[in-house]
Amino acid sequence: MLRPIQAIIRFSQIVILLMGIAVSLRAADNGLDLSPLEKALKAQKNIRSISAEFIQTRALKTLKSPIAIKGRFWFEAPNKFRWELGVPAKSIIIGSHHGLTIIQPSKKKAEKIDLTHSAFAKNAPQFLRMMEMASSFTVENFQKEMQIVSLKNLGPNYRLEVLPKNPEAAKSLSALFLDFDLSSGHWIAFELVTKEGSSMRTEFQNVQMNGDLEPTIFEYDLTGYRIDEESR
Amino acid sequence: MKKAGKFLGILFLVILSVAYVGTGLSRISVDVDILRLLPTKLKQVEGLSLFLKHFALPEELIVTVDASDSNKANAAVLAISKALKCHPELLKDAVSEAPWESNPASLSEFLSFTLLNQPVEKLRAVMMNLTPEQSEKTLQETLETLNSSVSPLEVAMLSYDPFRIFSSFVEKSFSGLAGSSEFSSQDGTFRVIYVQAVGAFENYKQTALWINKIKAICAEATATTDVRLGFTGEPAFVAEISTGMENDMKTSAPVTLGLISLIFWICYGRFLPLLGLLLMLQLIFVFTLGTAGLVLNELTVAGVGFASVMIGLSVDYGYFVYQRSLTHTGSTRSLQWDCIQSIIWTAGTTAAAFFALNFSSLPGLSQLGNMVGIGVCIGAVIMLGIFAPLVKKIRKTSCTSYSSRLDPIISSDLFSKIGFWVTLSLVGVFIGTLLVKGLPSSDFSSSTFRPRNSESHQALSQLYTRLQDSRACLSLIVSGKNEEEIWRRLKSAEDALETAKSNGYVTRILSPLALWPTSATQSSNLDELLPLTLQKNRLKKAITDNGFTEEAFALTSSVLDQVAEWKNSSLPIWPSDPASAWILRRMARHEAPNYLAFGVVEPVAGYESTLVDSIQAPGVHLVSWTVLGEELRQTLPKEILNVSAALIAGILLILLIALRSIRSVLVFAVTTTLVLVCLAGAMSLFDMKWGFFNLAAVLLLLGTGTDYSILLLLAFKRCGNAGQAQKQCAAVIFLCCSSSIAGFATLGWASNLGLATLGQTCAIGLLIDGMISLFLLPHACRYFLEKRNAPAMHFCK
Repeated sequence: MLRPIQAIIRFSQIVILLMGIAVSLRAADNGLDLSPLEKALKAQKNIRSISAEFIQTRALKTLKSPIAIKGRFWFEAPNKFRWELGVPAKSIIIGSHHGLTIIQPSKKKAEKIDLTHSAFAKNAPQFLRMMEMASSFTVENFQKEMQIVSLKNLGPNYRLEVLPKNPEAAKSLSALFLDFDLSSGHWIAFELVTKEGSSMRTEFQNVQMNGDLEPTIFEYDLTGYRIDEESR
Repeated sequence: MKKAGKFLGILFLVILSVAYVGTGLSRISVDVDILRLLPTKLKQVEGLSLFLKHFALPEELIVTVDASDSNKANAAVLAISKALKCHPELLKDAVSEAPWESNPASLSEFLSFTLLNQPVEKLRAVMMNLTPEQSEKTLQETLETLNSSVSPLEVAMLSYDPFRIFSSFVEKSFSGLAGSSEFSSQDGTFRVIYVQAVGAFENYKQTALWINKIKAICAEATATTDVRLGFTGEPAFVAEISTGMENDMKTSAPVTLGLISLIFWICYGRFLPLLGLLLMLQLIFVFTLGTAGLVLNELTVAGVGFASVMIGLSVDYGYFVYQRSLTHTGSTRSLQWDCIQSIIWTAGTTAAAFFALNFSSLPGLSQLGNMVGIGVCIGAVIMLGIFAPLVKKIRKTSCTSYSSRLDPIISSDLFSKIGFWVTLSLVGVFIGTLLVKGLPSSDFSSSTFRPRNSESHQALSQLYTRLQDSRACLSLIVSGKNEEEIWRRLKSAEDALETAKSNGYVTRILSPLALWPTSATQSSNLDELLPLTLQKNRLKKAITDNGFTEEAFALTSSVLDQVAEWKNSSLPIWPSDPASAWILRRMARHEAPNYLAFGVVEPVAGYESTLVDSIQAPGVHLVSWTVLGEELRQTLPKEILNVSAALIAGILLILLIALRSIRSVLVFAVTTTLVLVCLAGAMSLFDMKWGFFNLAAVLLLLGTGTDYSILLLLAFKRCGNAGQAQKQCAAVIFLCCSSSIAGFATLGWASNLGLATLGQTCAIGLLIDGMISLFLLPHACRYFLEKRNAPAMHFCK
C-alpha cells in the first residue's frame, strides 16, 4: 500500500507546492530575472483561502488522444485543502497537516493516512515541509525543494518551469510548468511532463481568493464507507 | 649410555608433544558467529542463525554516501560506481539503483513469474478480463480509471496494463519492494551503493582485506568531493568483529604476560625463574589449544578468548610452586609432594567447576568450561611436572636464599590490619550500595555482542535513520524441505499473522507468499495462460480499437512471450534474470537442500513476544535481535543460576573431602556468597549491567576466585592458626590475585563490548575475592574454626 499512498501524497505535494510557488517566489535560480514573479507575488500576499474549478487533461503516451476531466479545489490557510476530481466527484482528497483522507465515492471506499505518525513523518518530509511552506511563503523554503529552470513570457501570462530537487520525485519528471497571470497574480495552470513522454495539465478557472469557505468543505461523512487506516 | 638414553627419551617426548599440539592446532577452525555461543534450542537463536546463514548476504558490502546536497551525493555515487566497475577482479557489481529503474522492461520476467504464482482462482478471474466478450468493457473501465484516478502510480501502471492483469495483485506482491527506496533518501542527500564481491570469502582476514581495497577505491573516487562515506553490511560486520577480537587477543595476551612478569619481578627480582614461568605459560597455552582442537568439535573466537583466562589461572600454580620452593630445603620430589596437595585441590575444584559448565545448554559456557578445565589440568601438570624441577634446579645453582621482596610488607601485622579495615569498609560500601540502589540492571541486547566503536554499526544506524527504519520489525523466516512445504508453512504463518493483525498485534505484514511458487499452482496457471499466448493478435487489436496505442500492449505481449517460453520448463519455475535475482536475493533461497523464504512483520510495540509465541510452528521463525535479547534475559539468569548452584555444590563436595570439616566448608560458602554480594554491589555502584558475558564472569569467579579462600583454608588446616595461614598465603594470594586482575583488566579495554564487560567484572570480582580471602577470611577462621582445629604446627613449620 505504501507506493500508491506516497504517490498520492506526492500529487498533493505538488498542489500545495504550486500554491506556494504562486506566492513565494522572490528570487531567481540560475540568474533568471524573476521580477515578474515578484510583482505577481505582491498581488497575492496575505492569502487566506482559495476556491477554484479546473480541467485536468491527461495526454498519456499509451493513449491515442488526451482525456480530460473537470474538478474543484479549495484551500484554507494554513494547510487545509480539498481536491475533487470529476463532476460529480469520482475521487476526493481532503487533507491537513495531520492527515489525509482519500475518498472514492463510487466505490464507497476511503483511506485515511495519519501524517502525525513518526514513521510516516520521516517518510514524507517533503510533504510536511511543503505544508509549512504554504503558510510561511519564503523563497528559501521553496528553493530547498525546487530548482527553477526558466521563466517565459506568454503574452499576458508567464510560464515558470521548475524541477523538484527530490530525486525520487524528479526521477520520473522531465518538467513541471506553472502558468500565472502577471496582473492579478492568479495562477492559471500547472503541467507535469514525465520522462516517459506523458503529461498532465491542470487549468484553473473561476479562481477566488480569500473568500469565506464553509467548514464542511473540509469534512466528509464517511458513514457506510469501507475505511482503510494507513498510518505510514 | 645412560645420558644418551635420557636425551633420546626427551627428544621423543618433544617430538610427540609437537605432533600432538600441531595436530590439535590444525583442527581448530574459529567461528566468529556470536550466535554459536547461545543455546540453539532457543527459537530466536535458531531463526537468527538461519537468517545470518542464508539472508545476511556475506558478499554484499553496503557503501553509504552522505552529502550536503543531492547533486553532490549523486556525483559521488556516479564516481564511486565508475571507479568500482573498473575492478572486475574485486567485485561482481556495484548497484546504485534498482535494475528496473533504468530498464523497466527488465521486470517482465519477474512479472510473469508473479503471475504464474497467483492462486488459480484469482488468475481465472483475471483471465476473464481478457475474454472476447469482456475485453472491451475492461479496456473502457481502464480508460475511466486513467481519467479519474488521483494516484499517479495507478495511472502509470494501468496505462501499460490496460487489461488489468497485474494491477489486481501487483500491489500486494510488490508492497515489500515499494515504500522507501533502498538506494536514496527522499531528499537525495543520502545514497547507497550495494557492492557485490566477486565470490565467497574464505575467512575474515580475506573479507577485511577486500573491504580495505573497496574503501580505498571509494575514498580515491571521492577525494575531491565533500561527502562522508560509510561501510556496512555483513562483510563489514564480520571483518570488524573478527579483526577487533583478534586485536583484543593480540594485545591483551602480551600485556597480561608483561604485567605478570612485572609483578613477578617486583616480588622476587629473579630473571631465570621468570623466564621459566613465562615459558611454562606459553607451553600451557599451546597444549591447551592443541588439546581443545583434538577434543572439541568447534571453537568460537570468544572460546579462544577464554583460553587466555586459563593462563591467568595456571600462573597461580606457578607462583605457588615458586613461593614454596623459596623456603623448601628437600628434594625436587619432596617439593612436588609439598605443592601437590594444594594444587590438586585448587586445580581440582576449578577444573571440576568449569567442566560442570557442560551441563549448561549454552554452547558458549560449555566452550568456556572445556577450555578453562583443560587449561587448568594441563597447567597443574606442567607446573608440578616441569616448573617445580626447573625452579629447584635454578635454586641449586644459586647459593643465595631468595624470598619475596614483598614478604616483609605483605606478612606484616600492619598490612593485615590496614587490609582488614579497607576490606571491611569496601564490603560496607558495596552492601550499602546494594541496599540503596538495588541489584544491577540487565542488558541482553545485541549491542553487547558488537565492538565498542563500530563504524559499520554507525553506518547501519544512519542507513536506518535516513532510509527506512526497520529495527522494530520482526523477520519472518520460513524453512522447509521443498517449495511446496515452504508454501504451506508460509500460508499458515500468514493466516496466523492476519489473525494477529486483526487482534491488534501487527501493523504491517510483508509476506513473500504471493511470490512463492509451487509446482501445482504453476502447472495449473500455465494451462490457463498458454492458450492466451496464441491470442496476442486479438488482444492487440482490442487495445488499439479502444483508444490505446500499441505501446500499451508491450508489457502484456512480453509477459505472454515469457509464459510461452516457460511452456516446457521443469516446475517449479524460478526466474533467472538480474532484476529477479536482485528482488529475490532478500526474499528466497531455493537451492536444495536450503529452501527458505523471508518476510517482514511490523509488530505493535510491546506485543513482540506475544506475536512470536502465537506464530510458533515447525519451520516458522519470527525473530529479531530485540526479542532474542528478551528471551536471553528470561532464560540466561535462570540457566546461570542453575549452573552456578551445581558448580558451588561440586566445589563444596570436593572441599568437604579436602578439609574434612563442615564448619570450614560453611565458612567457605559464606565467604563466596559475600564475594558475589559485593560484586553485585560494586556493579550497581559503577552502573554496570548484567549481560551474557557478565554472567559468564560469575562462573569464572566461582572457578577462579574461590582458589584464594581454598588456599587459605588448606593452609589453616595445615597450621591450625589463622595468623600463620594468612602469613603463609599472603604473598601467593597477592601475586595470583594481582596477576589475574591485570589479565582481566587488560580485557576491560577490549574493543568488543562483551569481552570488555567480562574483563571488568572479573577484575572487580577477583579484587573483592582476593581482599576478602586474604583479610577477612583469616578472622572468620579465627572466630569460627581455630578452637576446634587441632594445631599442627609442625606441618606449618
